Amino acid sequence: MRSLSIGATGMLAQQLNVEVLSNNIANMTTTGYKRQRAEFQDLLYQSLRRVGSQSSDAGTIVPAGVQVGAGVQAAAVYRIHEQGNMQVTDNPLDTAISGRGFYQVELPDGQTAYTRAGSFQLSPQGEIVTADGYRVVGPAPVPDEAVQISINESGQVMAALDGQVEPVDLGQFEMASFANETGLEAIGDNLFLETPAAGDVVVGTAGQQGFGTIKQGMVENSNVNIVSEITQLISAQRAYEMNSKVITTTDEMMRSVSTLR
Amino acid sequence: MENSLYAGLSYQMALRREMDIVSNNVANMNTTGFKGQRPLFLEYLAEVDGGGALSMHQDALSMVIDHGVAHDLSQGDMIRTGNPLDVAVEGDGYLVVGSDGGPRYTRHGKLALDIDRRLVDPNGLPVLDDGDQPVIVPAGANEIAIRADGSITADGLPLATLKLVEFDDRQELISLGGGLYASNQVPAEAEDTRLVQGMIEGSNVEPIVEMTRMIDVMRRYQSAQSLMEREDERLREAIRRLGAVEA
Repeated sequence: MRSLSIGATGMLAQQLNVEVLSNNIANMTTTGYKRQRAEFQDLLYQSLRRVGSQSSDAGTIVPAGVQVGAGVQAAAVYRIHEQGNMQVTDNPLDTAISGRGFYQVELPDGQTAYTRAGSFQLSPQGEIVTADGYRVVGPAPVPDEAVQISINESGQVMAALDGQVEPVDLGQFEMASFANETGLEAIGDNLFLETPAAGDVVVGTAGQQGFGTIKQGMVENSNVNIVSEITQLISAQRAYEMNSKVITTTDEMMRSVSTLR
Repeated sequence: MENSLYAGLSYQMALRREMDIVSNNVANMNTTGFKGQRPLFLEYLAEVDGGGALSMHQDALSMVIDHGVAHDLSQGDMIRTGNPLDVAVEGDGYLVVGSDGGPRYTRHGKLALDIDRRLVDPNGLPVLDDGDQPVIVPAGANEIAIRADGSITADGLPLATLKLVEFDDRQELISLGGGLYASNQVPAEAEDTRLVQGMIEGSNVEPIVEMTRMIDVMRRYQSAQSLMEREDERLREAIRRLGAVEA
């Protein structure tokens, strides 16, 4: 019976759904995390009586054929790049992006990755680096004698040096933006890589047309809405149960057949 | 004649088909743009021969065959995703995508960009505009807005208008899977259909209804089963009694 395997595809799909939801919930407080969503589509159909086929010599046609579907499959697990909530931390190197755009990060292998997790640190050389120590593209290293770092809305880094009245301009953060942010490839550690699906990278600075502004002393929290995740988790669990019920019902029907003499 | 056995058998085969359809509905409970299905059954009258002079009136045996599958075309729930390339279709219309086999129609509005920066559906087929051309998003475009009438703007500049069509008879659409439909009808321009950006249309399957139908199918299947068992019993008994030779 088909319904056995159809129920199985439904259970597999809901399992994937729960996995995606649980990853969202686990990353509820991850800086710059963007929630994911599992997307499903119906599997192929088998036409047992074809719709539109002729049913008589007079040219009458079958108005609604018998088409039985074969279940469900996962179409995509995609990321939703909505703005996360801003949280004040008062750390001078915490820089949240309000609006569109990513920071560019130099990976150890020379590739460029993109991130929105703007909780930066200083390296021993004074470079502005991510939590993993990868250099952020843009500003020059901060001198040792700097007593205060201020970053304005367009991402310009200014260092006030001990004994100097004028702050030193260390340069601007170089930002990147994509037409289809959903197409970026996540590699973990809050980092993304560009792909053909994301579109060409547009490089610019904060505050320009198409780019957001930078807020110093703040971090962008994840955009996971916990209430919606929990309600979706409940509905996924129930959907899983109902699909398992389909299998037990089919089993029951087959058992009644096997008892027939 | 074992006609009552065959009537029961036709009933059971129809119920199995119904169970397949119900289980497909349940499996697609969370599928974007999915429309639930219902089987349609017909009475099929089979001539009973062999009655001859013995029977007073010639009766036909009533069997059941599955005649068709109807789609439940009601609107699915609107689910907010917040993704700018997600569009929900509200109304009776369909988006048009191009494929090698001609135009296909879909309500699965989770769109994306492909390598050539074309707007594509989840199967990777290009979504067509009102001139039957794929929509190409220019390089460097940042903000894509899709309005209710299907018009798309990139960074505020008009780009294209998505084609929205509707059909005289939506039941006649052929489901191809992957949220796609094909049709032999010539579609007309949709009138009362709007697109909603940042939302998608969920499945219109009512899980509770499907569960009750499933229980119903199982019980009816079992009653058909017991009918066949009793018929078997009756035949056995008839053979035993009539065939008994008195000593």
